[in-house]
Formats: sequence, structure tokens, C-alpha cells
Amino acid sequence: MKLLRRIRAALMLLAVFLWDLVVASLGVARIVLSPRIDTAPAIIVVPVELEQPWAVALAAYFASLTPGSTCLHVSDDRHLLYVHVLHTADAAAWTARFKRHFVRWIRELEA
Amino acid sequence: MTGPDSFQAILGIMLAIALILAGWRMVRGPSFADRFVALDMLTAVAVGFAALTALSTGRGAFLDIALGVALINFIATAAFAVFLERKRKGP
Amino acid sequence: MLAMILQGLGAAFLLIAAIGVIRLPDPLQRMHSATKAGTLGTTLLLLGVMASGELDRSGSGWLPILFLLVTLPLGAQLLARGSYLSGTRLEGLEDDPLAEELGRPRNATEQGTGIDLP
Repeated sequence: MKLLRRIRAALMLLAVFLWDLVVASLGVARIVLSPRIDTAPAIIVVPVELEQPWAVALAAYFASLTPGSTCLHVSDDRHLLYVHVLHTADAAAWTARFKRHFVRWIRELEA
Repeated sequence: MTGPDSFQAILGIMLAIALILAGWRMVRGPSFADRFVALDMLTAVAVGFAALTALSTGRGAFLDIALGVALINFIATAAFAVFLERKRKGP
Repeated sequence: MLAMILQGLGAAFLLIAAIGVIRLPDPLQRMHSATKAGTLGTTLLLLGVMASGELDRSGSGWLPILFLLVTLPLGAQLLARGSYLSGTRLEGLEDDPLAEELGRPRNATEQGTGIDLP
């Protein structure tokens, strides 16, 4: 039963990641090709409630792999990710989206 | 003039333009970080060229070259990142 | 046909990534364009070449794709951290919560190099 839940979490993570990769790439392409470059970069602090080191590493990996966001630094107690985002109007919305998409499934994988 | 050959020529021209743009950024700079980013871009284009060469010659061995270029790219990026971090200015 | 679509998309993404490297205003933003749109481009191009069925053996195409997907985020993170710490110029950034944490130099030079050229 636990194994099944883990497999489901891994599959969901993969699906969400592929979807996010395409959407974010198109977003970056739209920014680059627009006649006026109009980006609003920000450094966002994302609190992650993960215990295992590999789970935090996985979260940082996914933050870095989707276009338009890169993990810059992980705090020493491994509870904060510092993420640089190419274009965002609303930092709280971005954090909520990242948690909904990735952190939730990683926590499921970890449990 | 249509067909696979001319399509591959178009792909090659697109990659060549990307190569020129990345090279321009590498020459212009203005900072070290810009040049390393441009180097990253150049190696990505090189992987693309290796794939195109594999397509036009029909030899799968060129995909191994793509792997080699990607490998060197990673090591170079890591080395340059450490270099940048070490050269940081005092506060 | 599918192979040609994949190849065209891959080359287009590489071109867009290169245009982004030219047009975006500061190194961290350029990195977003170069490393990640670039990876998607190379991955699609490799997939398209493998799907074309004109190669004598195409199995080894999976290795570069896998390798790129594993190492690219690591390289991007290292490069971003390095360029951030070197005090490079960042445009349009309002508040910077990381500055206290890492002690990033405030007095980056005019040129935005942050480090002296040799």
C-alpha cells in the first residue's frame, strides 16, 4: 500500500514536471520574443517542510530544472530555499504554486 | 527544392544563427558571468550540431560525441562557478 | 513527420534561447534562457534525430538526454550562485533577502563585472 502511494507520487511528480517544463518554456519564449523586454525578476524565499536531505535536494532540483526559476542557495538548516525567478508579479502566488506542484508530492514520496 | 535535405539545411542555418548570437554575447561580456553563460549556450548548440551531423551522415556514433560535449560542459560549468565564487570581492 | 516536428521545435528553442542570451538584461536572467530553454531544445532535437530512423544505431541518444537532465540543474545552480556571489549587476530586483544570508557585496562595480579583469 505504501509502495503504491509512492509510485503514484513519483508518477505525478513526473507528469507535473513535464507539464511545467512545457508551460514555463513557452513563457520564457514569450518574454524573449516580445518586442520590449519587460521582466520582473525576484529572489523568493520558499520554506519547505521536508526532513530528509535527499528530499530537499529533489525540491531544489525541480526548482532549478523548470525554466524561469533557479535555486540559488539552501539555508544551512535545510528549511529555506532561495529561488531566483525570471518573471513574477506575485511572490506568494509563485510559492503556493511551487508547493502545490512539487513539495506536496515529494512529501508523499518521503513519507 | 523541398525534402529532407533542405529541411536539414534550414535546421543547420537556425543553429548557426544561435551560435553567432551566443558567440557575440561571449565577446561582448560585459562580465565574467555573462561569458560563462554564453559558453553554456555554445555547448548546447554544439550538442545540437552533433545531433544534426548524426542525422545527415546516418551514423549513430555522433550521438556519443554529443554525450562527450555535454560531459565537458558540466565539468567546465562547475569549475567556472567555483572560480567565480572564489574571486568574490570582500564586503 | 513526427521526427521533423521534433527537430524543428528543438532548433527553434535553441534559437530562442540564443536570442534570450542576447536580449535579457542581466547574467542571471540570461542564464534562465540559456541553460533551460537550451536543454529543452537539445532534448527535443536529439529525440527528433533518434525518431527519424535514419541512423545505424540510435540507442545511445538516450545517454546525452539523461545526462543533460541530471547535470543541467546542478550546473545552473552552481553558476547562478557563483555569479550572484561575485557581485554581478542585477536589474529590476527590488528586495534581496539573500544578501544578508550570504554577505553579497553591495559595491559591485559600474560595469557590473564585480571582479577585476586580469
